Amino acid sequence: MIKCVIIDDESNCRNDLSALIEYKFKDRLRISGMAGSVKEGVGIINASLPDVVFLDIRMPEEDGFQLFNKFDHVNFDVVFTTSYEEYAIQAIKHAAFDYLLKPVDPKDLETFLDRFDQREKQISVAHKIKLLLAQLESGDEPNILVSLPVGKEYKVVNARDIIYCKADVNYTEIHTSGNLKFVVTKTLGKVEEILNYPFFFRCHKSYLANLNHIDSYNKIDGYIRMKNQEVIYLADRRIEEFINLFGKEK
Amino acid sequence: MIGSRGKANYEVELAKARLEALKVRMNPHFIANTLTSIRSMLFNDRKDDAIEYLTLFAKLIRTTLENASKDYITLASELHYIRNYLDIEELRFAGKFTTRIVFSESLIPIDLIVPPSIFQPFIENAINHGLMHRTQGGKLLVEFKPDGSLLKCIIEDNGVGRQKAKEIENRSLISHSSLSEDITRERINLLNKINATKEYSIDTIDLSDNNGNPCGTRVEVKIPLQSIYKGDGN
Repeated sequence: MIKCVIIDDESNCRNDLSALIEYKFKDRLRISGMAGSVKEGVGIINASLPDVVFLDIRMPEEDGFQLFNKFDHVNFDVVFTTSYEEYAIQAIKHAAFDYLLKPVDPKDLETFLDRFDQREKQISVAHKIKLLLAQLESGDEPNILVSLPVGKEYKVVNARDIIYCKADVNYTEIHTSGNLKFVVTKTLGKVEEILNYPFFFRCHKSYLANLNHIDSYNKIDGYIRMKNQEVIYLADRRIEEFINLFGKEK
Repeated sequence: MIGSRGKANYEVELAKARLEALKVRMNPHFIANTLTSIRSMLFNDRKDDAIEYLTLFAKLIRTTLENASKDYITLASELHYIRNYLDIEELRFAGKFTTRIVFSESLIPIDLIVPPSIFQPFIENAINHGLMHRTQGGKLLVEFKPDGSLLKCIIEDNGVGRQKAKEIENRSLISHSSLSEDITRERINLLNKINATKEYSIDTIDLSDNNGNPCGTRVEVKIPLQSIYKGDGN
């Protein structure tokens, strides 16, 4: 599911695009917020961390291009929605992912969604290959350094030191050895994509556990006890998958 | 002498041809915005609003196309056209501004003729550049009155003013030229040329309050006061 935000000063245009999404693409796109100005949009983007922002260009006070000046790192893709064809070149210069003319044609929106999914797949395959190569090169007990966004900075940690990750709405708590904790400005789903190592296990909608830090588990009540004695519950449908990690019982 | 008269005739003919090409055009962004609004109403089950909007828009398109083949229309028709256009913009910018059309009693709209859509582009401009940057409380005044042998149309807004609008627009990376206003200025020049007159004119006045702060823009468009009963106007 692609999470999106719509920024357009005209309520009719916001309503048109959101209704079009609701009507034809609600299985692929979820609207996490709408804003009537760039300023309002920044708040909604920071709160909901969307994958895509549908952005009008001509707006009073600040035009759509100004949105790029509001972020140190633009962690989302931008699709311009406008009735002005002449802005296409500027949009490309701003690394727009796509450019849709209003009223948005459902076919154009579908083409965009296909392109977006295609690219996501490519990124994920490239990421896995990189990871395998890193593991091959570094031997048995390598440090696997990952960087995770914490506010405006990126925190660098050894993935092996992460005990578990816990979802907190749009953010994720990372618990590391030594009873340390920090909060990452990404959803657990995104963190799971970054921590794409075989020793991480999604035991629950809200939990991702490092198998190396497990002390024991209880398959009847469905929980895992970590070495630091914290207990993480297993979702019912995960229990069997979890047990199978340790081979079939004799 | 003959040569220069021939040249003058040729220039008038050329001016007429250019005028023809520039005559009545609709702003493509206005069309796109209007259609987007109508579709959003259909999506959101606002059937009555969509019908009202579509009816107004159909009327505007029909009049625009009809006027394209005319050199002059009555002032009454032009007023209907302006009212029709404003009704659409008021729906789009619901509550953002209010409009007042004022009319001098000595003018009889059905007896006067004007070039089609000669005033509307300035109204469109007042909305898109002056009033658009206000969040609320916008006021638009359109006033018609005689001025000696001329007909004067005043388009006044209490928007941010030309200077501020320009500052806002300069800060942005996009160009904000007003195509329809440029076209109308060109039409005014050509009308003066064809009629060998200087009676057609446009003046833009920056308004300021008692403290000297900008408080809007007034555009005065003047054209000859012409009766329907006096020749073909050309």
